[in-house]
Amino acid sequence: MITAATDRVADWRERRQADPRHDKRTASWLGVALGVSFTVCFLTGLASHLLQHRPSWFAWPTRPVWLFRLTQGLHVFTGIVSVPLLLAKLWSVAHQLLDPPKVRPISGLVARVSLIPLVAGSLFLLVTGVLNIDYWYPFRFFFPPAHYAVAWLTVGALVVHIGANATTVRRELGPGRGGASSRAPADVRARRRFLGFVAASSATLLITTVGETAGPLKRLALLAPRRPDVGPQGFPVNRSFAESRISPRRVDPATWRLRVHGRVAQPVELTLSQLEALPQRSAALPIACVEGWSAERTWTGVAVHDVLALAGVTGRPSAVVRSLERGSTYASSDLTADQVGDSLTLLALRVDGEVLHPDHGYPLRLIAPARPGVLQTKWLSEIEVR
Amino acid sequence: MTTGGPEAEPRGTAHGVGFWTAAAVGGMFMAFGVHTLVRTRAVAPVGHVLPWLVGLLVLHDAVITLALIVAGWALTRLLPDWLLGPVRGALALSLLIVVFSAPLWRRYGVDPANPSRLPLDYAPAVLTVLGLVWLAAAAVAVQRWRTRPPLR
Repeated sequence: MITAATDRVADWRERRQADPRHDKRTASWLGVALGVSFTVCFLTGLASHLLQHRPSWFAWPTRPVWLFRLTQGLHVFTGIVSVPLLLAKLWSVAHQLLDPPKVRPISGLVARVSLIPLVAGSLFLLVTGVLNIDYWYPFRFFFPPAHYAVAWLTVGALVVHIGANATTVRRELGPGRGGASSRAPADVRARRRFLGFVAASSATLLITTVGETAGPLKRLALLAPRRPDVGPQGFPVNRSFAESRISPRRVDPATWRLRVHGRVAQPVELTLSQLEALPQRSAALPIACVEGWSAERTWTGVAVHDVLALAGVTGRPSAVVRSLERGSTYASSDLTADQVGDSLTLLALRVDGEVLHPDHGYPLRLIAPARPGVLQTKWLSEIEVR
Repeated sequence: MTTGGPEAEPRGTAHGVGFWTAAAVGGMFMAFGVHTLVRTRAVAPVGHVLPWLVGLLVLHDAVITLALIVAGWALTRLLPDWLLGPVRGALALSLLIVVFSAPLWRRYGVDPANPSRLPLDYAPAVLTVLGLVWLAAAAVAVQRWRTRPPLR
């Protein structure tokens, strides 16, 4: 009876190997697509990580102003597109789970073992990534460092996997007919149908989510956790005033002050009306959240370098801006010398001509070009020059 | 995946210098990943991350894959050829959409203090997308029924 069951499984595996949806050519196409999408996700995720934990060697331009909006949009939506690609790839090669384990050659063992972190890591990245953009945290770890560490683990395993399979992929997809997969017309049709279905599945998820950053598609964003035009003053909020737990007394214009200190000629404290009396600048800048949504608005306020000039600051210093909020990872953010000197790095008092809503950072927030939304610090109370 | 296993590749090509270079670079990346995980254990304890890594792998490889193979086998027995492809595709995509959007239609991430988060009524939104998927599947099925080969 056991022999009969083993024979049936072996038969099934053989039939699968001959099925064009499960052969090497199909696996190669899906592998190439995933190789590209994971590379894009990794590089754009790395950019976001470095921007939020900026090492001294890392330079990030302040132009174009939509640079982070683009890179983070690529990160999130390439990740979403990768969900059907990964599931299809795993389904197309699932019968290989039954391949007998082989210890020799050692390269084969290394390639096989590396599949464990590759598959586990890929599933982890896509699942936690989707949960994060949907603001649901059923896990007991802080998402960014876990996602970042597992990304290195997964991409490392991906590099090993590419090294093990590059020759097969070249043979299957390259010019000539060196591949082992069938090119019979019926098989070619079946393979195309399957790959077409996978592409359509990725397109479905993309079209129903990308409108949270691509405004013209917002009506199609039925499966997106945000709409770029929904929220106070017509755009979303990541952290509300209530969530910040700042006492309303502390944003009362009668008592609120912006303190400028650190490496300055003379520390200054500015009231809201003093800031309003300074030369105002307006700029159309996107607020681009790490979770993938973005919205461009016209911000009006005072350039950071104009305020620093009042404290007698000269040269090209860097600075840190701090919020009234306490105890949050994002209650302060660093400004590089380039950002401090940029006339579009604003201490914003208004958005689209209106005084900021408390959820958008009243009385004063930072808005600067090409930065993650979490670094556009709200409810500002001080600038420390370094 | 290791399509066909290493024995299918001529030695010295797929598993030659190129492979070992990739293995060395990939190994360094993986080691950095493990190092980062250990370094950030205060906020992302390895004991909490590892069960998710292993759990998702086991859930996928042992449960979901097996269930899909059995469901695929059952559909092949139940449906005629012209209907099999569209139904199988629509079922798979529907399942994916329902699971992918579960945090939205289950409203897990809703925060009353922040109404811009999950602002839609997601149950009808998901049903709309599912309706369109099955409409497309029906169109494909009709086209296949029209062009089906005659019964012998």
